[in-house]
Amino acid sequence: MIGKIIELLINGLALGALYAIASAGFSLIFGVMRVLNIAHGIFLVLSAYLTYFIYRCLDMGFIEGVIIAILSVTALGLLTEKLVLYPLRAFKESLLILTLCIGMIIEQVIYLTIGPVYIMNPVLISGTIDMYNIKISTNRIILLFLSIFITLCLWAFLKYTKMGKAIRAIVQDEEVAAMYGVPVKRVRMITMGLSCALVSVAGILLNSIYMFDPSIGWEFMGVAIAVAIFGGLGNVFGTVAAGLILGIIESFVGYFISTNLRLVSYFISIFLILLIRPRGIFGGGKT
Amino acid sequence: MKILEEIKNPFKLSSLLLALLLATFPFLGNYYILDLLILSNIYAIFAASFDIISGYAGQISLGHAAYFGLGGYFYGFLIDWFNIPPALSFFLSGILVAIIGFLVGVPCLRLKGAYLALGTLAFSETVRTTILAFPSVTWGQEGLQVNRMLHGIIHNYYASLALLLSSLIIMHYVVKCKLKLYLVALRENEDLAEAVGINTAAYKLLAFTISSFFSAISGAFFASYIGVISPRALTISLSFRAIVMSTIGGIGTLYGPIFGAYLITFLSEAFRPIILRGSDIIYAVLLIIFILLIPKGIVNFIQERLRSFLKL
Amino acid sequence: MRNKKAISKIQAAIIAVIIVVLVVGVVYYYYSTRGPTSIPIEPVKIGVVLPLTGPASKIGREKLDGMRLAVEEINEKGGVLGRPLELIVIDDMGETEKCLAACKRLVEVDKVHVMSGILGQERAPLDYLDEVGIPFIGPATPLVMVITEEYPGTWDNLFCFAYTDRAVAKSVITFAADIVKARTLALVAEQFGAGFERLEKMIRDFARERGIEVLPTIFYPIGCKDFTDVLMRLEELKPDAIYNFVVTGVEATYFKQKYERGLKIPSYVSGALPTSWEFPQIVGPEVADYLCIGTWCWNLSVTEKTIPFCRKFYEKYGYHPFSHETAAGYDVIYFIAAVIEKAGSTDWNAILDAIPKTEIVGVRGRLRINMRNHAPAWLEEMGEGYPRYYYIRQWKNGYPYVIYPPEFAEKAFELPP
Repeated sequence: MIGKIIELLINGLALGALYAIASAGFSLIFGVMRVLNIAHGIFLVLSAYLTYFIYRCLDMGFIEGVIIAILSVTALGLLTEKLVLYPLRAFKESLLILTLCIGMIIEQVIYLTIGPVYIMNPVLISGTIDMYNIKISTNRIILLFLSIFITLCLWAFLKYTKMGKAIRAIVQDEEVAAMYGVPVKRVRMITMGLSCALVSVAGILLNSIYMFDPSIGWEFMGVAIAVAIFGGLGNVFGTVAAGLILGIIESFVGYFISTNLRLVSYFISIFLILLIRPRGIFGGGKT
Repeated sequence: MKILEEIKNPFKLSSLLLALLLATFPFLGNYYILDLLILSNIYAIFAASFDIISGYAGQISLGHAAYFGLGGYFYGFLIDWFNIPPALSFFLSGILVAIIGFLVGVPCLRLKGAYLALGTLAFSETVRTTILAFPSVTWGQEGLQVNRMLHGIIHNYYASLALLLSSLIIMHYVVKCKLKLYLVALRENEDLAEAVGINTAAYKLLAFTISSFFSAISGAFFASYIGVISPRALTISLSFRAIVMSTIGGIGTLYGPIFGAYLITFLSEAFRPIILRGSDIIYAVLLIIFILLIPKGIVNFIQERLRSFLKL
Repeated sequence: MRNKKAISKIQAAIIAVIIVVLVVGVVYYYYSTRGPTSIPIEPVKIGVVLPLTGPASKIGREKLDGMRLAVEEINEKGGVLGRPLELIVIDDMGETEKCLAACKRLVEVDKVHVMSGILGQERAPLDYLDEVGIPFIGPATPLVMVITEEYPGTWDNLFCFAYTDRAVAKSVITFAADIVKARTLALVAEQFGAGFERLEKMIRDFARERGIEVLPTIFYPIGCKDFTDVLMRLEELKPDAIYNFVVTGVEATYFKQKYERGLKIPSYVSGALPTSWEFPQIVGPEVADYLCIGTWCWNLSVTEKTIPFCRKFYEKYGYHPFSHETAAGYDVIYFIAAVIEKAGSTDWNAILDAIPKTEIVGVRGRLRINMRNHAPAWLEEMGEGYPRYYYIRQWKNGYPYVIYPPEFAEKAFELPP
């Protein structure tokens, strides 16, 4: 029994960590730029498709594909920030709809160029770790460690570097930060680039355990929104923790209650959070 | 009566006349156009009810498709489980969903802006995944077969037209005559409205309730017409379509979304031979153009131009 | 502060552009569907509604490819009744209302002579077609068969080319009993509504006859991302064989996670993605290996048309027609052509009269329509109604080898190492 619980815990953490990385970017964008980037889910799927395109259609290596995909999505994000989000930052609610439209356009572009293809990462790591009655696939363990590593890097970046502090300052209060001389425009660009890099890594890692199709960007967007609200919009550390917690909850609900309720548990969680603590379970969510 | 006074306004009168003109379409015998018109009518009611919340009251609701879909599902459930006659189920489902809309509105009272949008979206996705999670009851992705209220496309067409007109009259009277001032005050500056003594909470809830009632009615009619209601009627895509229809048509008016509904339905059919895949891209591009250039929608734009033109 | 006049000019210009685009679009649309065709001889038109984008797009596309190859071949030989055959295709994106609108458009505006396609389980488009009276022969559409069996006479003009649940159930039990020699069988099914009930009941009935214990079904929702709990439960139950019932495309995820977890129980899938040529490319050949699938036999001469069909299909489209869908699309067009030839005209009633009398040689066998359930009656079934075309194959090194029936087996069944 203990073995089962540990298995569920580790698998839940692995999946939750990936969701956490994907949602951290979304939360960060909201914190710094006060805009809900609904196109975030599509960026996730886009990076997986770009990787596929490069290593399958252009016949380059997988690692090259990953690197080019991450760079491209980051570039696309920076472009969006420069052309859309920054100039139009006065349109408060309409900006949300604009990002939604951009997401839809990207999805349709994938349909039109690469086509409605199903993709999945090639098997790079195989084998299972089977000891003390616990059976976990090696792939998951590696995903877990990678995610933890990335999260630690993110944490270190935000806590100790100058740019990280600038970001946190703007999340707290943009006007005061600007008065203190924080270069808002540059920080916005860096935030967007960082978020897109994070989400594209999450996309590629998720593609190794889950098959993608161009229209699941919206599913992942829903999950990212759930995680971000649960942890507090704008509170990156809270979002990451929320991702891990929700992943574990999903895992346990699936085994002990019913597999059918896995997805429901996500959305019920955020519904409850909005009722009880709208600022997120760790507080610190920004308006 | 106030209704008659409002109708005298030339713009509104002309749109009513247009509706009556549409009533002659069945004589063309073209089931295809009729089908598009029926769908347009259904979406028109849906978009107009969305406009009550978003355009008038200024509360962004990204999850409106939930009420539409729930209207359809409750219609099916009431007929199957309690053997209630279809016409009665139709209205009852509207009332049930209106109660749900009220209950959803209560926690939404303290949410603002982004949180409200996400909260309504969360509600919509919760409903959708719950329906998928209990397929023994709801038949899951396959969809629930429902009894039809009316058979025959011409009957359905006249019914949809009657439904549209009556919904319009009720919404017009309730929203424009009674609530308009309060809702607009709510939209423009909520804190100021509170300060002046308007009970913003009550009016928000009222807007939620009325809006969800009409969304449910349109959803129930949709289910009755198509004969099947599935979780595909509850996706973000449908909520997005409501946003497109009201933003392009004209926010804050009831007639704008109706015009938008007709426009979008016929437009996406017209563009189908040209763009086989990804026809949703039309919505996205149009919406971007409109948000940037004509943020209030066509009807408002034309109204302003006409007014300034007539005043010379 | 911008000048009010300046705004109105720019906006007016934009409005004008939009109006022009709209007008052009409407005019184009009007002429493209009503204008006189450039072909002097009016072609025989078959209307097809299929999901070409969206979740079921793979199935829709493969069917369409089969249909198009058939149309090409028939037209090369002179067409039907001396007239060319034409497919008018509309993508319904998997949504019922679009399917319904597409059907109406094809019947009213394009004035097709026969309808085909329609994948879905929804009644609404089928009810409409029944109301109008146009002959419909779908390449799949099992709902027609199910409804006609239970309520005969509901739909007089709708027919389909679906395979029966009985055939699938038989193949599942054959896999479990004869190939794996299992004593316990687990069922893992996707929650797609009530579609699995009939099949499950038949599987349990057949299993009881052969003395196999069928464990309670494990269900998972559509869009499930993590199958850890499903796999954990399977490990606890320790069945000798597993049957996967899938409708949408999540099975790639399931099999990849199963492989990663090292679960080696022999599994059988009877349709959807694992039966397609692309499967080993998507999940990786290591994952695909040792999975057993039920599909038809394209590399054996079931009829004289089988091998030439596969060759021409591969030449035209660049991929192998492994799955049922391609063959179904091809056969259904040939059947429709044969029916119209027999009827001698494109009049709907003549066509409906000709349907019971038509028999063709398809790529999967000789068939005619069984008027009891409006589905194909395959002639030359192999003993006890085992469908001639339901061969069990096993993926190995990216190719599915036949392992059953024994007379045609290319390889013996292998357990994963």
